[in-house]
Amino acid sequence: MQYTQEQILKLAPDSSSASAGSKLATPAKWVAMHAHKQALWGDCQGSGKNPYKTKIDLQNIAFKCSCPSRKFPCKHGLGLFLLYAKNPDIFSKEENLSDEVAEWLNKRTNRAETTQVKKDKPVDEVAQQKRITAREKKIQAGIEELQVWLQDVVRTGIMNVPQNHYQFTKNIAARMVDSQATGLANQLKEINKINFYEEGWQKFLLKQLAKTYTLTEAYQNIANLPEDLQEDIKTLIGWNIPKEQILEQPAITDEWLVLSKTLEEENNLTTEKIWLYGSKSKRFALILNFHAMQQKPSNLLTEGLYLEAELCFYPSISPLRALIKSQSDVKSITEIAHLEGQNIAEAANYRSEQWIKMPFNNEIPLLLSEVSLAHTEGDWALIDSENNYLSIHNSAASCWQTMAVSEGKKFTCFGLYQESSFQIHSILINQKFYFVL
Amino acid sequence: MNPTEEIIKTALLGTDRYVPSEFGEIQPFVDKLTQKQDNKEALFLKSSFAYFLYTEAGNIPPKQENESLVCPPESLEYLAQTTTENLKSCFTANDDEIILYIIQKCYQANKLIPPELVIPCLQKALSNKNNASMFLKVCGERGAWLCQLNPEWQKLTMLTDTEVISGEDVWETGNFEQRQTYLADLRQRNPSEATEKLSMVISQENAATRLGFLEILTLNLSLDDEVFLISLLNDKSQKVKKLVYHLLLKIQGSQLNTLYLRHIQKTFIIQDKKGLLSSKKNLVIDKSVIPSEEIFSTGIDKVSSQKGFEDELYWFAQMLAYIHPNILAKETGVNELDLLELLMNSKEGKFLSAYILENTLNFEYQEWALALISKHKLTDIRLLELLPSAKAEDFYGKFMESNMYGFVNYLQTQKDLFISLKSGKEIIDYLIKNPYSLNKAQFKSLALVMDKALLPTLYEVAQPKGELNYQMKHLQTNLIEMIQTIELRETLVF
Repeated sequence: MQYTQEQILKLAPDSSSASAGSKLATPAKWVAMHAHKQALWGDCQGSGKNPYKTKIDLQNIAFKCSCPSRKFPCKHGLGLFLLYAKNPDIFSKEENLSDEVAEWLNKRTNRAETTQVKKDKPVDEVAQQKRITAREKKIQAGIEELQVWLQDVVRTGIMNVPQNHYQFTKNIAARMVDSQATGLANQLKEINKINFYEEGWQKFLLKQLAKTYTLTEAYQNIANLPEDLQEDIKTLIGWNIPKEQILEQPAITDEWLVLSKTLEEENNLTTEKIWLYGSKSKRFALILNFHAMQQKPSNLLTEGLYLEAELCFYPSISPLRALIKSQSDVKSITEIAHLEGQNIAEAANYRSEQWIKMPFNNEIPLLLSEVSLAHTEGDWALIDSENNYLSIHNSAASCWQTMAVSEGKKFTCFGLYQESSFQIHSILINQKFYFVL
Repeated sequence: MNPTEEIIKTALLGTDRYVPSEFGEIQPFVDKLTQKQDNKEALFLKSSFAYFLYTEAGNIPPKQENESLVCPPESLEYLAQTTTENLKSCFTANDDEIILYIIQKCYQANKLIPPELVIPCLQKALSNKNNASMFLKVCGERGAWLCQLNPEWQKLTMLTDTEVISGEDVWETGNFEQRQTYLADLRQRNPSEATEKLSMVISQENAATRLGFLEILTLNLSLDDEVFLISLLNDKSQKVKKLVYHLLLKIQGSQLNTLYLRHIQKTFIIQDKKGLLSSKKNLVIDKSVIPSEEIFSTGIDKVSSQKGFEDELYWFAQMLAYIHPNILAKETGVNELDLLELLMNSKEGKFLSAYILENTLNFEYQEWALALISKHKLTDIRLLELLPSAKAEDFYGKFMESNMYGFVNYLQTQKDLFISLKSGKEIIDYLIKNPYSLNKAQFKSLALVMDKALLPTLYEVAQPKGELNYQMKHLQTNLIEMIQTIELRETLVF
């Protein structure tokens, strides 16, 4: 596939890598440059005596380099890829892969197969059940502790919380981690995102406390809930379903458009959220990846790419989170013909339906069409053809970027409904796709 | 109090002190919960969650008329796709030198940058006032339209050339930079009208503004400006006063300049010294002639601080800087170049050279500039600026040796400059010997104006050759960037 320079630079882990990679995108730095339909490889003269050996898997974008950098992809990988995007003719065209590259590609394939074998290993069900029971006990104890804490908070009132909001949930969130209810710890950590210097913090804080409490009761009454909702509640509490089990589910094959890719970093853990939209299935999918400090991302997707892949969804009353079971191709399309979205009133109905199904839903993906951006007295909003109004909470820079590319005209946009307002992630106008977050 | 306020009040005070009287439309649901729940805190938390969810889910989107603020259509073409890609990469890498280069070329080619780069470009315009109008122009109608919407960018619109020329109001209502641009433009087209406009407002302006405006009078300065300038000789600001004297003295034939000329006439004597076969002209400066108090009041320094530089000669030198070489030649009957030689080769020449340089710069006298560089080895970078670029290139080596930093700055200020292969090689040779004489940005700026025929030389020097010392590594890294910059420049299509 042909990536554009912009898409390649988006693969960079940070701006300094992007800058360093750009500087290496010159033949002067490369002692050898080879291109094969499956891979690119080259030798880059670095500061050391021997050149670094850099390889790129073109089919399932992946990088490998002999340099000691901990960044992924490293500047050499980015440089080689950028050079190929800029000037493919200077690469010597190879019919066969070099031994080293062939070995690396084989290893990658074998790794996927090993995962398959691992999955086939029999599970000791008795031991597993024991572990589940022990964890269940811990979680129940944790929930009881959390319920008491929440009740104490509302009994004494939240008036003084802003004075010490950094410490407010610290201990109880740590207790939830100890109780193996990491989902509940995450719910409590959401409180840290509240801006206590802004009017309206009281409502956000109470909402989050009330939601967390109700979630704990929902878990205690889980047996009375519909089966799919039970899975959602369990996930929110902190139960994980093994990937192998998800990949056993029936997969949905589609051409998935990468609508948005965001990274959030907390305590050396990076959460990568990739929102996809199926061209045929007309459904959203969320790929969630977690990378610890030195861990390498498993797939390198950027906004505006089309991914031909089979996705397996996690069980849920409205399934969104998915895993890529297999992918056959990644396409970069400069023009996207059409995306069918909803107007604001329809989106509001859809949002309410989602809450009826799953009241703890935090983020609702929406595809809005025929909307335009309105700016009045510092407030930004979307307005559809029927003059329905939806306030947005993008940053000012992102709003101006949207205004610039949309020219005040109507467009289709993808975004997430969170905390009473909408956040635009990407827009489609004049058949062009722009990531604006 | 509505239910939301009731709930928030309870949360703030605590359920021990306050209990909400009602939960609005979800009250029946709360009543049911109350029957099952005896813990009032748990009841409050669950009821609040239900209330917020119910309110938000039932929220019907409000209606609002949208004022149609649509950007006017563009009349110009967008940049080619490959150039756009490169420009995007430069914005990602924050490569200011190449961004400026591409924007300049885009501006000259009457092309537009793509919509997604308009905002970054407007931000660059804000931090780059000198090129703001160029940055704005390449943003097209979209840029101008966004500037109307965003107060932060509104000032950029006022800086575009067309607005300045057509907008008479700018002189009355514009900010300092806009008025300065307006005045400079008017001075260029109609010098007397500019002086008239300035004379009407100058007394109301502050010292810095007065100084800024008066500097513009250097353009097309003539005897017509004398009356106006004389009226400013009593200005309160010393800086303004100094500038006014400088301008008056530069006007050949002005009262003050005539005073200087009279003194020069009295002190400057050319004698014919007869030899056996030919006669030789000799310069004599009569130091017994003392300048009048009127001359000293024009700002002439009375005491020289340079060792061996007599005060009488010092006074003469200061006045010499303000007499045009043509007039000096006429007065002495010696042609300009011979006169320069006489001055420079005289026994006072070493003291006079700084004032001859000042004279050359004051009157932008190319012939003297060329002679000073070529014969007298003066390497003040301002002299190079007086020469046409083709001629100036002959002396690059000389200026590099004396002041590489200033030399590169000179190159950066030259419009449409292109460094030939020969000069390029000279520069590279110099850099091999002095790799730290330039910074990273300067290496890049140089590359942007270098002949692509220099690439093989650059490749050869940048080629890894075993273990390198830190100096060569530094040079190699920068030369590779130069190669990359030249190669990039060659791929750009406008």
